[in-house]
Amino acid sequence: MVKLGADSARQLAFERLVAPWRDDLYRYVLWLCRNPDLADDVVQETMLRAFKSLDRLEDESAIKPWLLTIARREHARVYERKRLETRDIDDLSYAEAALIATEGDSDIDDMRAAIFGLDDDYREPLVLQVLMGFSTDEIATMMGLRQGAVLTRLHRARKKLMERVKSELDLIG
Amino acid sequence: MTCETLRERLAQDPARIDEEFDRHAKNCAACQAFHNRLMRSEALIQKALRFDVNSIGKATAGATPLRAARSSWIVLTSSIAAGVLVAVLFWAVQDTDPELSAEALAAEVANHWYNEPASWIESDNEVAGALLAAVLDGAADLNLAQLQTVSYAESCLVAGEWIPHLVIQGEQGPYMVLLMPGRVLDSAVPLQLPEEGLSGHIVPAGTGSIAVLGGGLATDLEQMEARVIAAVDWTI
Repeated sequence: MVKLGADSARQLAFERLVAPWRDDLYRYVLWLCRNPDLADDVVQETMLRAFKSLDRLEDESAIKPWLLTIARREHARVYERKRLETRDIDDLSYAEAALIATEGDSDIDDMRAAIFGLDDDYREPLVLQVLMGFSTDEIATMMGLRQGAVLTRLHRARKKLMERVKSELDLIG
Repeated sequence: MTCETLRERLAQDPARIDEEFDRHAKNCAACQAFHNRLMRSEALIQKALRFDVNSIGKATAGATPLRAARSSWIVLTSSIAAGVLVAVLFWAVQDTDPELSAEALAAEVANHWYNEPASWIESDNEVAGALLAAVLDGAADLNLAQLQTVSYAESCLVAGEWIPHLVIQGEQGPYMVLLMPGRVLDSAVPLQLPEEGLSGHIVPAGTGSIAVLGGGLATDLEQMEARVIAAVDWTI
């Protein structure tokens, strides 16, 4: 019988628990920061920190919120460091160019543009709910908000998106 | 409940449709229409958010050279992280079986039920066609004529794969159905959640497999499994 060393055991746990979330973490961070390069940095940092501190994760079922918490913290740190380099208007068009029109479906492209156009406060809870599958309770905890505030933001986000892609919804219907 | 309150609640969480909504919508064509429109929007939001990660690298190649401005420590830590990932991938390729065992898959499926028990409800409410299409996209076509009401549809991460999670109404109650394209099984694997009064199987279905889990009688379960297998046509 081969006995696994601590590093191998950690790699095993990393591959099983963390690696499957990599793409969704990238999507979440990219929607958060709207900059593919920054998102790349944040996800790399998040994966590295998760690997280092995996031993401290007591409840495996909490892996998703645990990773999200690390990613949010890393985003705040990296963004703070890069803030002076960042040009908002350029970054928005840069990110839009990268994200929009990857699908070849104009309805989806228009929805992406509409999501880009949302305020950060509205976009993040929507991404956490729809993409990451968190409950409004969990989102409230993660963002340090009351659940009522999260519900209001989700309602307003969807209302704005429905207004912005009105013609697409008419056509699909 | 007023139309305004009901629509606000729907827009907070479109997946949360309760009896109150059902009662209201039966007599309110405007709210039913709003719900259908919201579901079309939700399907687009899901697709828009879940972009192909690999396409971003291609789309950004040669774009604004912000990477050049990275500080050296970020490059260093990124390299370490990349090294870790390469090592992990190397290890995974060398030492593990890429196929999950049938028992481990059954455990993942049962675990997923515990993650989303709220979706497993009796309902006459048909999920919007656009949302169902978005969830099935790239995985399977579904012949709805073979089935009763599909009351819930969501893309879910199960055993490392994003797959369609449906709730289909049977004669004796709702069933959780997970469509797993590409997950080939030799024989049916039992699913047991006795403490919840649930049972089911993961059944082989051509080039994939299908998990069906519910609380009905064994005959109803078998009927549902046969119906779902007949209704599914894998597209990958």
